[in-house]
This record gives sequence, C-alpha cells and structure tokens, in this order.
Amino acid sequence: VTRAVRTLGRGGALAAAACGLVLLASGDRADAKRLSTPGQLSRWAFVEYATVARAKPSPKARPVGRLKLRTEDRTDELTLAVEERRGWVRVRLPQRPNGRTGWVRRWTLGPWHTTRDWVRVDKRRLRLTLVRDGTAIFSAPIGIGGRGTPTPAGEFYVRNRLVLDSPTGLYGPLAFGTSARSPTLTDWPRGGVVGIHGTNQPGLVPGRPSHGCIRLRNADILELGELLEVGTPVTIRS
Amino acid sequence: MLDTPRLARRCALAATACAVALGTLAPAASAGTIRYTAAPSAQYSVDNDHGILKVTFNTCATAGSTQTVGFTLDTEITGKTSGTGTFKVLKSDGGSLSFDPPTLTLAPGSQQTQVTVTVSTPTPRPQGAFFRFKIDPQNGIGIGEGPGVMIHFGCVLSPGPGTVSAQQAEPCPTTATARREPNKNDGKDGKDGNPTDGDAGKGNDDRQTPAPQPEQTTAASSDAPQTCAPASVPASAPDPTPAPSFSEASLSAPTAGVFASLASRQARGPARCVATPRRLRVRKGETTQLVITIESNDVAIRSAAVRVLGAGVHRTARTNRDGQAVISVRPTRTGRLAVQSDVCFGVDRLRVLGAKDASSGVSPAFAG
Repeated sequence: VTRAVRTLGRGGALAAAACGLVLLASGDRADAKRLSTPGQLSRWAFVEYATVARAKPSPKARPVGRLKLRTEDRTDELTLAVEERRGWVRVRLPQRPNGRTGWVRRWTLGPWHTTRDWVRVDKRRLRLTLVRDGTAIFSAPIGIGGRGTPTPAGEFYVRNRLVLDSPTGLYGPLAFGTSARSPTLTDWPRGGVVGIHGTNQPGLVPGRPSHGCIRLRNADILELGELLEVGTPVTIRS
Repeated sequence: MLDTPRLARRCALAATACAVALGTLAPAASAGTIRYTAAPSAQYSVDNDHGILKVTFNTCATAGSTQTVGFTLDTEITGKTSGTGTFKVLKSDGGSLSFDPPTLTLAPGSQQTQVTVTVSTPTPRPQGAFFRFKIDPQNGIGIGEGPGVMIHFGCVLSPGPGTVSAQQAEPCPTTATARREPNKNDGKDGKDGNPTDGDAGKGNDDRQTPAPQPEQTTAASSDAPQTCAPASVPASAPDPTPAPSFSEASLSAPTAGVFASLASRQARGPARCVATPRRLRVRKGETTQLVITIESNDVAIRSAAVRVLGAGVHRTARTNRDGQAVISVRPTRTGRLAVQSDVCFGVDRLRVLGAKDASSGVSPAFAG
C-alpha cells in the first residue's frame, strides 16, 4: 500500500485534492434550499429556543446576533427563514443593523408556517401595497418618517399584531410590529421598533410626519388587519 | 497540468496493492475447528464478527411459546477417526434449549450439518432471556469446541388476551395468515371526543386497552409449524411449563398487546423501555411527529405496541424493524402526553405547552 501511495506521487495527490474540493463545493450548493420568495411562498417559524445566530452554518462561526423567545411587546418571537442547509437555517434577525441575517440550528425553531403575502412599501410614492400570489390585493397611502428620523429601507417581516385598547390613541386601533428598527432613534424605549399602525392625525397621511413608523388611516389599518398575518415579508423601497 | 491517463494508471496500481495487502492480512481457513452460521431471518439479527455467533431476536418472546433458529455447522476435522458431538448448554437464563438432531456424527474432513435449535421461554421475564451453547466434540477426533452461540431475547412477555392455547392452535391455511391483521384503529388519529381519551396527567384511564396484536414470533426455519395465533406453540422441552394465565402474569411482567392502566401501579414511574425525544416541544394545536424508540435490555424491539395518550391525543402504533414507532400528534389542549409500550411497565410523559401567540393587547412602544 505504501508503495502504491508513493507511486501516485504529487500529481495524484493534487488530482485527488482537486476532486475533493469540487465535490465539496457542489455538495454545498446541492444541499442549500431556498425557503422564502416574497409574494410567492415564504416560511416563518416561532423561536422555540433562545439562540445565538452565526455568520455561517457552523457552531464555530462568528456570532452575529441573538434570537430571543419574546419580543419587546411581550409576544412570542418569530423569524422569517431565508434558506436552509444541513440542519441550519438562515433567518432574518430583528435587530440592528437593519437587514442582518444569521444562521441558527433548525431545531431552535418551531414548525414552519407559510404565507403567500408580501408587503411592499414605496417611500417615494408613499404607498403600502399588499401582494398575494403576485397580485396586489390592497393598497393605501401612508405616512413615513421625516428627514431626521427616516423609515429604514430593506427587507423585513411582520413580527407581531397588537390590538389596542383605545382606537383613538396615537397608534390607532391596530398595530403591526416589524423587524425593522429606526436607524436614528437608538435610545428609544424598547429599541425603536418600526411599526405599521393607525393614527390619530389622519390629515398627515400621506406625508412624512412619523419618527420612522408607517402610518395608515384607521380605516385602512383595519382593512389591512383583515388581510395581513404575522410572518409576512415586508420590503421597504426608498 | 494533470495527466489523466497517468493518474488513472496510478489509481489502478494503488487499488491492486491495497487488495493484495488485504488478502495477505485475511485469516487463514479454520482447520480443525467448528464454525457456526445462522440461517438469515427477519426475526433476529446475527452478529459473528468476534467468533461467537450472537443471535438477537428483535421481537419480544411470549411466555409459553417457542422460537426456533436454524444453524449450519461447518466442521473441519483434521484427525482420521470419526466421532460424535453433543450440545453443551453453557447458560440458560429464562428458558431452555433443545436441539434437533441432539447428537452429531462428526466425520473426518469437511462437513456441513443443519441443526435446529428450539428455544422455549416458559415464564414472562421483563429482563429478557439469554442462552449460550456450543458443540462438545468427542475427545481425540482432532477438533476443538469453538466459541459457540449466544441467543438473546430483549424481553419475555405474558401471553396477551388474544393468544390461543397450544391445544387450540391450528395450522394456518396459507403462509400469509401467520401474521394477524392489525387493529383497524391502528394509525388513525383518535377523535377529540374519544371515550378512551383520558387526561394522562390525571391518570383517569382505568381500562386496559388492548393494542393491535403483535406480529407472530414464530420459527425461523422453514419446516417449523406455523399457527394462526401469535407464538404460542408449547415448548418441546422435556418438562414444559404451561403458559401462565393472563391475569397472573400481568402482575409481574408486561403482557403482549396490553397497556397498563395509567392509574395502576404498573404505570408508575418512567418506562424503562421507552425512549422519547428530550429536545422536542409539543404544543397545543400544532402537529408534532414523535419518533419513539422501544428498547429492552439493549435490544431494539420490533412490533412493540406504543400508545400516546392525553391532551386530546389517543394514538397507537407499532415499532418498525429498528424499534421505532412514528406517531403524529396534534394535542387539542395543554397538559401531558403519556407514552407507554406493552414491552415494559411505566409511562414516559411529555409536556404539552400552550400555542405560541404573536398577538397581544399591550400598548406598543414603536418609534411612532
């Protein structure tokens, strides 16, 4: 055997190493599975075990964030899945900086829930559109953050649904929390979560009156509340 | 640049060298010894890597029944005189062995002999049954004893309520009837209002729910008699012990096809044979797949009945060849799921948590 290995020589070893690298690379691509395509099919799950999200699907990879069991508003935390590979899932993290993703073990999440909805927010046209299966089923004018407190752009998701006691309050009758955070209000109570909610000042919609949240008129937020579910991807375009 | 034909030639050389090396290291033919080989069967697994032939039955034996194993003995006698060999039972823990033929004639040279070993397990034993034997050849014929054979049952259950006695057993009309049809309810999710759906945490299910009848653990050899009932053929041992009645035996050992009542003494404590996933969280309103492994005395038990009861769930299933039962549950309320098997007493419990909720009535603190 030793003689045979010697006979193979450097060329043989090089060839074997190259073959191995090619096989590894193709294996990585083959076992990756895309889990979410906004507007077609997206998967989300509740967080079953608080965990550290990592930069790569490896326990030794650099930590990039955390997934907790509860949100700031005391609802159960959930996360939107992006892709899956060898027992690891890349998820969107509800933290700063906005748009960050990280890899967590599949078993730290609950069973998959699916949605075919997609919320698109156009900051230039000041409109929110709900897309289901590729078709817009709801659209309404919105108020967004002003120049000093802008609404962040990027890919996010709906984290929770809050039914409010006083419909005439600041947030109207209904509010949805998202995974987006205000890029400027870093010391805001409970982290400066960007929400989609109603308003007690409907005259300022459409416009740029908020601190980063997305405001709808109360009739619109109630109509959206009939259609929108948690876990829905949200895309905010500037 | 890589020279592909040259690389292929070198690979072929390496493979040839490897094969030659392995061939050199292979053991020489065992002259003057006895080798034991078991006939293949789905009823047991065979391991003879270390010289001793280990036959492990992957189903529980039923008390009062017999199981047969067909062996092939390869003998290589170097001497010039023939002689006899008798079977020497080294260990008989939980039953008895009988051999057909009881004595072997060992002639010089190579010889193959078919032997059928009948194992009888008269009494139920949760700790299983263990046997070991070997051939004891006549002195002076130039052959050693060899390492021998081990036969292991993970558990010996009391006969279930559906088992017929030896006198009632009749030959099956066809081979297919050797296996009983499973219970029609097996594998179906119990309705929420199922009357047997007791709360496992309260333990108010006082009935002994008969499980689907187990698969027959009959003879492995083709000429063994088959009966329509689960293994209940009387032992052919010289002094067979009659099979104990169901009520007597169920007090001290589990009964085939019967789950202990959750309120009974037998259901106290954890089930030693049941392995449920520890990291699993079962939630109200969510479908969760449970993979439950049944093992007894380090033997994965095939065809064991498994029941999951409580929190709006009542499911039964049987284990596969790896001793695993896959049961999907969707609890309708919080509480505890009781997981038990007919292989052992005790109950394994899983907590059913409340459903996750992403809605709340608290006032948010959004950026606004």
